[in-house]
Amino acid sequence: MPAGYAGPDHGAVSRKVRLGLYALAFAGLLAGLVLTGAALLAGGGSPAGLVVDRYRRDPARDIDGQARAFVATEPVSRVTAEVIDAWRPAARHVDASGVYLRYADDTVVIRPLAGGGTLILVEATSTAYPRYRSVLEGPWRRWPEPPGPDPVWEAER
Amino acid sequence: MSRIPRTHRRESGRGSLFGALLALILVATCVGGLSGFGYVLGRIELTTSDHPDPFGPPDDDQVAAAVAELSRASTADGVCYGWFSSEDKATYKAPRETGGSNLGATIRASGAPSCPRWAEVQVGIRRWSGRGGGHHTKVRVRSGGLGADAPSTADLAAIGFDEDDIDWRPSVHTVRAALALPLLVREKRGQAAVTVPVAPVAAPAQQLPAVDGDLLRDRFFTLLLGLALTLVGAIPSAVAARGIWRWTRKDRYVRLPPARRWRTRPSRSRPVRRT
Repeated sequence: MPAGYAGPDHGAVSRKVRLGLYALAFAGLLAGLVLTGAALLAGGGSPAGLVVDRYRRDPARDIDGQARAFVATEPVSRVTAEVIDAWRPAARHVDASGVYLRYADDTVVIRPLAGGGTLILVEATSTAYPRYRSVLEGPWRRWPEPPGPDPVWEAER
Repeated sequence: MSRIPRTHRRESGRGSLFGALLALILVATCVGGLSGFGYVLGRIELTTSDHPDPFGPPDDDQVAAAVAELSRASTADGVCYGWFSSEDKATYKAPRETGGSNLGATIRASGAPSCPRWAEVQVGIRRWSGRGGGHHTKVRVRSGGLGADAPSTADLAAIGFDEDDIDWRPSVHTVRAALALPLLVREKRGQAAVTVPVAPVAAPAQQLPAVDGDLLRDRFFTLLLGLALTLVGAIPSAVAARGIWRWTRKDRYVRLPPARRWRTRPSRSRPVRRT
């Protein structure tokens, strides 16, 4: 043993391990904050927020001051894909009159416009369901909705 | 007046605050974990008990409503709309085939003499049993006489009826996907949606069953993972931050012997540098 050697420095090793664990915990904290933030903020924070963020408002097409109208130049299938990819609906129905997506508070109705483009109506489910009762009363009760993957998780994969 | 100097009182105050914070984080982790576990169990139970047979045929009223809806659309568009599913399994002598359209619950649109223009959702289900048994679903949209107005399989998937969706309950969702065909044809033609009778807004005869919040239903696992990582990472990070804070203080100020510290406190404005 060389002169002056006092053996392995166990304190330094344990200090390194502890620092590594702290760094790992800090990385976990950052990852957790990013994931939580993404879950809360992605897709405009809500289905209605997504529509407000992405599409052009068209107040002339509002219905009774309860349904807010938005328009898009994209076709119905693309708009529907954008909405349901960001927020999976609790119930939905598609027929010749449009796409009806039910969310916790709001209903999003997506319809093709004559000559191309899409009309998107956002309305509270409490008024949308009575309004479109003739279309939705059966389907929203009749057709089961499959449990889907988490869109944020899917987007990050 | 307390005999404990202000510095010591502040230290002990910070300690208890830190302890309270740790306790809060631990309690939040336990409560969040337990409620999350309960929610996951609830979801699994709901998923498995609601529809025990994924291959069960659609109810008669589901089929009757679909035929009526497709019939209205067919009259408006001059196109026959329908569905067809073929289920194949080793134990079957021949694939089980079912199909329907606007012409009736058992009449297919493709090949019908009265349908020069038609569109059909076709689903092939292949099942296998034994260990690792399961099923695979293939979805496609076929059409005839529609030319550029023909809806495609990609259009159907974009609107939400992809293989994953139909695979969940193939027989039922094949019929459901067929209902989307008229909208896709209208989109291709640049036509507006069919106008629906809009009822004056009044209380519905039957309230809709409540659904989970959008965040919980849609992003539950991301939220759970994010919060778990945050909480688990926060405890050691807080410990580390406290250690760093104490270490920097120790480095900046001379630690006086306890006997003197009771009488003399280094000034905050003029710290004594360690030499």
